[in-house]
Amino acid sequence: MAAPATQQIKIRCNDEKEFTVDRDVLERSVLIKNMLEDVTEQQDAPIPLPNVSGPVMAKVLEYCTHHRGEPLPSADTEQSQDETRKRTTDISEWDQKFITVDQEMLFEIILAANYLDIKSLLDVGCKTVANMIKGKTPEEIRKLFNIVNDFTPEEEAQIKKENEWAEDR
Amino acid sequence: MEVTSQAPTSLKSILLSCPTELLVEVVKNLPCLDILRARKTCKHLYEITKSLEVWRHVVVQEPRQKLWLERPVDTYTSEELELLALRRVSVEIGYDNLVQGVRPHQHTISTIGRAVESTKLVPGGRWLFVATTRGGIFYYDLDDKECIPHPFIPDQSTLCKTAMAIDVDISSPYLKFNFAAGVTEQTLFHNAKTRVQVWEVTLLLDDHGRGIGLQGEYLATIEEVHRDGFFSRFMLSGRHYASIFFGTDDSMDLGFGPWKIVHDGERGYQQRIGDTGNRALSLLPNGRLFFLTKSRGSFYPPISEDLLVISNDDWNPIDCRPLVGVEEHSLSNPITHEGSFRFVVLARDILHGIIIDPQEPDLPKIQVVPIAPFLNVDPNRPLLLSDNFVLSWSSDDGLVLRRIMWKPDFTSPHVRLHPRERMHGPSRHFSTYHLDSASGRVVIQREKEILVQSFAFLSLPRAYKHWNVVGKPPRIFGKETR
Repeated sequence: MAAPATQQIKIRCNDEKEFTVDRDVLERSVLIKNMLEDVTEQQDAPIPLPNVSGPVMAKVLEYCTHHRGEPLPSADTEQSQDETRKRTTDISEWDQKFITVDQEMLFEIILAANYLDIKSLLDVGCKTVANMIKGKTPEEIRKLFNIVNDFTPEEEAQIKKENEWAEDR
Repeated sequence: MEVTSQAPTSLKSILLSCPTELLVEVVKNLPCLDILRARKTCKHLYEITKSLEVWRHVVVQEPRQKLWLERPVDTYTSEELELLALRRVSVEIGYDNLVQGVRPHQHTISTIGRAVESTKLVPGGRWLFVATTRGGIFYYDLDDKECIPHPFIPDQSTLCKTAMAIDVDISSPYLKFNFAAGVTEQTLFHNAKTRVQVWEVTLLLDDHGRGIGLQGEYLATIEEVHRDGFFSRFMLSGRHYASIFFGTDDSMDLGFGPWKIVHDGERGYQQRIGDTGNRALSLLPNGRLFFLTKSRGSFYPPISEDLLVISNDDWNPIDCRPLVGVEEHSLSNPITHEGSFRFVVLARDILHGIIIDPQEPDLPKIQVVPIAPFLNVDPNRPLLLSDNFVLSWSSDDGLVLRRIMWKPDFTSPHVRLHPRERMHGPSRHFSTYHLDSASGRVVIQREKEILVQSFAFLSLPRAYKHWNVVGKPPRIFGKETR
């Protein structure tokens, strides 16, 4: 059976960078998928994506191309308990390699995945940040993410007391 | 949403500039102790680590039997969920502390002068049933500091021996279980009379929807036995029951069969099998009776309800793989994990883990991994399994708690066994004991008192003292029968 000719879609990022991509690749993004469903006629004008820059979109498209054809997670955000339970904190080998980027790019990918509504990519991004936090002391977490300790000494003492048993575990 | 392509200034945290919902997504993926550490970094993350969404996620990711929520997850506050999840973490840490010599927290509970015959702890570790020597049954809320007895069945006029069984309906969002009591009245002038009655027990809720008590509804009388003796074990699982009845003439009867809800004085079914000489048996949640013989583990298939009486000749067990060639075994209670059944077997001082794959119920795969020596464990005393803890009794060591690790894919038990911890000396002055890993409790019944040991150092304080009973939970139960 001959595959139907793949439709090409043009998108334009906030830095004027344009991409021409196969429709099924772009449809990993629920945002774009819904946009395309609303449009019945073939459009030549590129879809504007004012929240994503060219370099970030290139990364996102790399992800979408690799995962093209995989079933999209159901539209329901509320997953059944069983499904949620089966979600592990593991990230596949390809995804892990893909997401090995500097912190700034990592967060931009997460924000883009959130905006474009690509749940699996958002998941990979959030798990990667979680893995960066895992096993670190509060001071190490602050240092890694440039967090300023804004607790008063009294508040800090109070929080320390709340879960004293969990110290040094 | 902000345009994010600008380079962040060195003063600004890119993590904290993310929208709150994304930070929640990140924190959801952290293990409990890492959530606590992230909490200490700054005010913004502090707020996020206290959010309901985070703790709901943490709790629903755990297998339900690990925490034993007694009501739907959306009826809990974030504080309650956090405490539930952290208490389970404190069970693991508490066990490590025990091994390093820290004594468990221990207290005795009052039986207000009544002699105790037997006890039964409901999974989750909160509710404890206690039968008196007069055949009465009451229950305690172990989360309640005052821990007073609540009546369930009034005392009888005669001395009684009571065996209790609990079968939790894990498909029900509110705690709901069938409770069976096999009561043998010991009369001087007549034959002893034993009857088994079954109740459906549900939570009593207060006006905030929290469980504050239990109530029972009579379901059935399974059988009456007019012989001298008593139930040494009674098990209930869905529509099946299994029992071992010891006659005073040294006979031993195995009872196994379906039971049904009866009305108007009708009796539930009864099914009896003669002496099989076998004590190592376990009633599985799929209605099969698993037992060990000298050389193999075997199943009895569920019995059809039309079959009223079965003779020993009709009683054809399905043999599975050879197990262990010894006479004396101890077989633990089964636990359910994502549909598979697990239990442990002690034979010739070696503990074996067994997992039955639900995919092939007719061809059960029993995977046996020798774990470590358990010395002189008494095969007549229960071997208790709760998640990854095993409680056994041996004449040398008394009551011993050990942790076993199951492989994450649950295909077989892990071979790692943790050091044993002696919960109670090798005294014979106690009869029943229970283990619950969600609450980290070991309950030991002694002659005149009940000892509650907690190796979890976090407890769930029942802070709501003045409550109004509103009634039963809504009838949104999944299945009536399993």
